[in-house]
Amino acid sequence: MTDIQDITRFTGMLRILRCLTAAYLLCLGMPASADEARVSEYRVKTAFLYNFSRFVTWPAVAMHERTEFSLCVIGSDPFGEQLDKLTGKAVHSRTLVVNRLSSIAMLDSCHLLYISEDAELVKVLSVVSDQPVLTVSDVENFTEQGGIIQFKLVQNKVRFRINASAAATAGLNISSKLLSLALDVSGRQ
Amino acid sequence: MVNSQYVNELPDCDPPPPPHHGRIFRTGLALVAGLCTAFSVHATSLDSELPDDLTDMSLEALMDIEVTSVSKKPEKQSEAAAAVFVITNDDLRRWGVTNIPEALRRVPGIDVARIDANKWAITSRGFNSRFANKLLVLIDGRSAYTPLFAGVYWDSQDVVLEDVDRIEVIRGPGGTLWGANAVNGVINIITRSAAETQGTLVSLTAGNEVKGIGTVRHGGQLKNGMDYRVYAKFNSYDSGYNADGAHDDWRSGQLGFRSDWVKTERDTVTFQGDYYRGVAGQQVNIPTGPAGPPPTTVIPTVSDTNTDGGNLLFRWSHILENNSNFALQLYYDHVGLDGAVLFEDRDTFDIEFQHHFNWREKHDIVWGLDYRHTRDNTENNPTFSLDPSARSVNLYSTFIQDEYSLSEDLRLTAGIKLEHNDFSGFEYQPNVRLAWAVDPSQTLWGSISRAVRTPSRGEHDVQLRLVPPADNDPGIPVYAEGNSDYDSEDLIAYELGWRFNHKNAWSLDVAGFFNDYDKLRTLDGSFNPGPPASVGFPFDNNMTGNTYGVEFAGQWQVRNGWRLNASYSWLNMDLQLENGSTDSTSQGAEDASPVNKAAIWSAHNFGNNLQFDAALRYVGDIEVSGVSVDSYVEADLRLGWEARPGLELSIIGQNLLNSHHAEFLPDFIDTQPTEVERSIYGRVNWAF
Repeated sequence: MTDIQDITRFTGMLRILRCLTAAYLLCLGMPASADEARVSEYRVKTAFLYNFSRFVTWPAVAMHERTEFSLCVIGSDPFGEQLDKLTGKAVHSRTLVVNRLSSIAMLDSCHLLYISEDAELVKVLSVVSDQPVLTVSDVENFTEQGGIIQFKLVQNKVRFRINASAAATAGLNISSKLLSLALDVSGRQ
Repeated sequence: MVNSQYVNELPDCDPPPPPHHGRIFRTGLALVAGLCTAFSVHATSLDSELPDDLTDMSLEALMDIEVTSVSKKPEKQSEAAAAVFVITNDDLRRWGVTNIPEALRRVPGIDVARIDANKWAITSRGFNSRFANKLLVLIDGRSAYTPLFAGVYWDSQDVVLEDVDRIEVIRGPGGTLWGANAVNGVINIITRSAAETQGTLVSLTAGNEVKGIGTVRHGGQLKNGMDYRVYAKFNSYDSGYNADGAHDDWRSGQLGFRSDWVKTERDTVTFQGDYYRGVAGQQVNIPTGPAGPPPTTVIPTVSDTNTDGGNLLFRWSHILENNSNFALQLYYDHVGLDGAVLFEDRDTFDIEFQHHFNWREKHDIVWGLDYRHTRDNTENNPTFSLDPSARSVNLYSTFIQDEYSLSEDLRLTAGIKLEHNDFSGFEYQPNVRLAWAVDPSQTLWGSISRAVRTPSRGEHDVQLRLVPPADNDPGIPVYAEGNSDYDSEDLIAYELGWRFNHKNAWSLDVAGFFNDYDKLRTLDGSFNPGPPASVGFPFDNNMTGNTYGVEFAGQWQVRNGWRLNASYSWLNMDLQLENGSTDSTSQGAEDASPVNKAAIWSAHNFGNNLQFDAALRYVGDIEVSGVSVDSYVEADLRLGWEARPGLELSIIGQNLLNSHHAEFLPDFIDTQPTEVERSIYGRVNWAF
């Protein structure tokens, strides 16, 4: 191959690289998006909620004299009837019940609390953050705001992030298995 | 795209597998040009295919389910109305394979035959050859077949197997979505996103035949949330067996990166690239001398083929309102190959756009545009030359496909692809598919499609000097010759399939097809008085034919931690010359693929950290260019031990039953074939 051909090819590649780079940069300014109704996704997430309850240990004070394991949803419920199918399952030798809450009054009776995107997050977290309540949400940056487990879709697969120090504050012990599967774990000692 | 039907998925043989049945043809789109990951939003797991109670599944299995992230309508019925087999990341590990051809051996309907240590003949549903030309191979949406002969240089198609999410093998025509060359099948190799390959992986493999494979990969995240990975890989393989000595040992190295940036919930941007170099040994018989009394002088030449190449790919996918999305993909690909006969120096640039949306509730529509420019340069030699020695070729195409819900259980898919290429001009490839979800556990589907295999650069422009058979040597040079009038081969395919899944304990996938081909390639000889005198065999389209067959894939979850799989294919080919053709070789394709091919394999877990895998494979006898190759049975074994989290040690045996066995023979270029030898190797995978 001649030098000329080499140079032509090289400049051609440079041009393509430049186009690709430009297109790449273009995408940086894209707007954030709203949420939409989800179906299958929440079916899978329901199973995650159940698994979370099994891989987290609550302090004795939260389980003492309780015959039920309370799974709560505050705000609009994205799970629908899927969630009700969990009712009656055994979690830590207790019977799982689902409570959909309309106010923050009953929060501290929950073992696991799913905080919907339209709930008043800051207020809810301020009530439960020092209680033995496992908080879970889809809200972006949930763990940064003091929540314990945040769902995050990665390539359409359900993943989650964990804030270990928030769990410690709540008195919850998260199994190493769950920690090892998390996308990231913040505040680990 | 993503739509997969994971007949096989079962990470770690944990409890019930999540069979992801996908909607290939709805989101097929997706696949379409292989914007695979781009459209993965639609690659849904169907609710109906998952166990009723997902809480029975392990967290790891749950994490493998693809979900509909933006969908206003509930996902129901509809499954892929096509014959799909998916090889998962877990399969690749447990099968103990070291490269892509080995991974394809157990797939029903796919012939994999090694010619020498660095050359393979791989095809779907017949017509096998080193230069097999009716199969489309995509790696992360980038086409991997060379337009020189419409086949694949398999030794140059390397990926870090640990980073492969899955290999989707779709038998049957995919022309409407993927375009020309997806005549008998599509192999879609999809690597994991950078977000899923975080951390460092070091993998070392060494043994008698696999002399050494070393991989280092590191994945991380930038402050702006962009995930990335970089990797380097080196392969060294020993030569195969030939009683006269073999010279086909080979080495290759590859570097690459991938970044994925989920900019917003709606926007994902992927940028990736690879660069490779390789040196592959071979002995090739080169006919020489102008004329003389037979036999033609043939010089056995031992020489290395040097390869180098690279690619850059950019993809932006965006989710719009109303359950619609689009993806834009651009890639650049360079292929360099310099051997004793073949020479190729090629640059390809491709840009494609796809849009997927719902219309009036019941219509799921995907359409797209594609432009590909490829130019090559050849250094002609007396054996192999192209005229002109450099050529640019443009390919324009557009497609549209609609998936229409006739009822809750019935989905009709219809689509067409229109394309224009510089060799055969305008082409159209329509298909119609119907999927019926009989009940939540079974689906029946059928399809009729037309697909074309457009002329390759070689069929148009080549002059390739052949080694004449000893019993029919004219004593003057014999050439396969390009023909500017050579037209596309075309196919009308009728397919029927049934998929059954019983409570995830066992599943069965059956697909049958009848293919009606027209204008298949022939070589009709004619004497050219010269001077110098020669015999030319220009490519022509004087053969028709039917092929038909049935393929099975089954899975049985015997119990927790033990899974059995089996696959079987039966193929019959009947080819006819027409227009007075006297071609004496092309009909031989009837015998170059085995009538029967079967595999059975077991994946067994002992406790939490010990895995035992075993496989038996049978491939029926074949005949290539009049020389027969015996059937063979081979066995593979693997013992894997997770010594501690992240550290896996395994010992693998491949092709254990015979010290060596033959699989295939060369055609067109008379390279020395070598046999596949018993291979034993150890592997250490350390992720931290």
